[in-house]
Amino acid sequence: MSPNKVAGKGRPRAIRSVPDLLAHALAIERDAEERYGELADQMATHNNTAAEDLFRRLAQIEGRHVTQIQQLCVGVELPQRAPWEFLWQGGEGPEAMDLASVHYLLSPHEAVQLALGHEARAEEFYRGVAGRARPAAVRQLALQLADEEAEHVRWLQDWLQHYPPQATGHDDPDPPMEQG
Amino acid sequence: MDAPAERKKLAARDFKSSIKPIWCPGCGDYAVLNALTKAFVELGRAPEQIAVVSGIGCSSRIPAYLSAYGFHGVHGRALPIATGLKLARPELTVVVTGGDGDGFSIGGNHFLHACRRNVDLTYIVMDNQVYGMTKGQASPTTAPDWEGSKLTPEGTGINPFQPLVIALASGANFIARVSSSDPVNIAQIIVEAVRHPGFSLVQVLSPCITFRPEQQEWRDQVRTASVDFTGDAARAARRLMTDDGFNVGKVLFKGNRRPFAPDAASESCSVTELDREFEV
Repeated sequence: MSPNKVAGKGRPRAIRSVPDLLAHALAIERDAEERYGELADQMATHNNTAAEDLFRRLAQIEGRHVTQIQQLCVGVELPQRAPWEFLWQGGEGPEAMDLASVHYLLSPHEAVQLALGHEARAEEFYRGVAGRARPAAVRQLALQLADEEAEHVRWLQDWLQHYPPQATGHDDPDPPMEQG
Repeated sequence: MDAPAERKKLAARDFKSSIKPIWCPGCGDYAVLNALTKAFVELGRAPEQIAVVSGIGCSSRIPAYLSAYGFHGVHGRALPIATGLKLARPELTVVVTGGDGDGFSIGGNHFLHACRRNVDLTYIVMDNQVYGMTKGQASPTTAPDWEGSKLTPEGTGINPFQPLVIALASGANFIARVSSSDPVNIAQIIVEAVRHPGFSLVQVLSPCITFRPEQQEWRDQVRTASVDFTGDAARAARRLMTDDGFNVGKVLFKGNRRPFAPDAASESCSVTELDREFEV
């Protein structure tokens, strides 16, 4: 996926507090959970059950991650940010898969590859936060979150072995016909 | 819909209905649907305070996918329906959605007069330069040399409709162009558009991956507009003279025309009185 020239807003500013980092983390994981669910629905609509199942699994994993972060947020007053006020590069959260990157004949292998890219972006985001953060608590939490994303990356790398590439690509024997 | 006395802060997902979109995966309209739900949250409006009106076409399905008042209207007639609704119920936030064919061809005349009338509406046009629902014919915004349809095998040979130029010339009070490759930016611009009084046009470059797959390259062609909005129509017009259609992400024009907003309450009458006016 090419970088989005519209969304690029330069070098992200530093996240200075644990509540702000938690707000970012919660937004990232919720966006990811919802996006994988949305993509699963899209694949279900187009009868691509293999990709649907995979996106449902990913949504469940992100849902568990949301729950874990919510537990960290207990008793913490989170800052309210509009969607465009988060301090990541690009418009949507780093883990939200690009809606334009999918096809109705998407193979599970391609889906895992796409997910891998976004999990790696999330890890990179948290490591970037850790690198720029001054308060030790922020740095520590950011590294913990980065390690969790790194674990997701490893899972997905394993999944790639289970979902080999398909030779057929996106060739549809019954394609949408242009009329008129 | 009755508003509960005290409502929890809504999330974007609360504005989605249980009906799942049937658009092609990869379609730009998904980004607009997500942007709308995010914008509604930021506007702080409850579902029963919002009405989304559409015409016909792929993008005009949006009201069904939202949890708010919705009206999936007649082809090209979303703007008159929305105008009537806003004048009758001015307290509602009325958003109009549709595509380039619905808005600029079948509904082209309504578009001109909606801009001119300047009722407080936000019109979001998902422009993919093709009739997607009817499987790929040239639309008003299609380039003259597009040869993808059997109806126009050598292209239309006609200069495309320029929605932003027409909107500016016709009196729209807010004009912006965004790209479906940045849903968060769309949400931000929609919030600005709704908050700005009068008629607001938001053109969304929203690729049709099935009948215009080459539009997937738009995400690499668009660029954030280099200048911020102007309130000077002449300056906005000069900018549009050199515009290639890929400057996105910022508001082009914010006018200060007073919206058309007659006092509907003082002019209301009973249904019986209305019936009498239509007696033959």
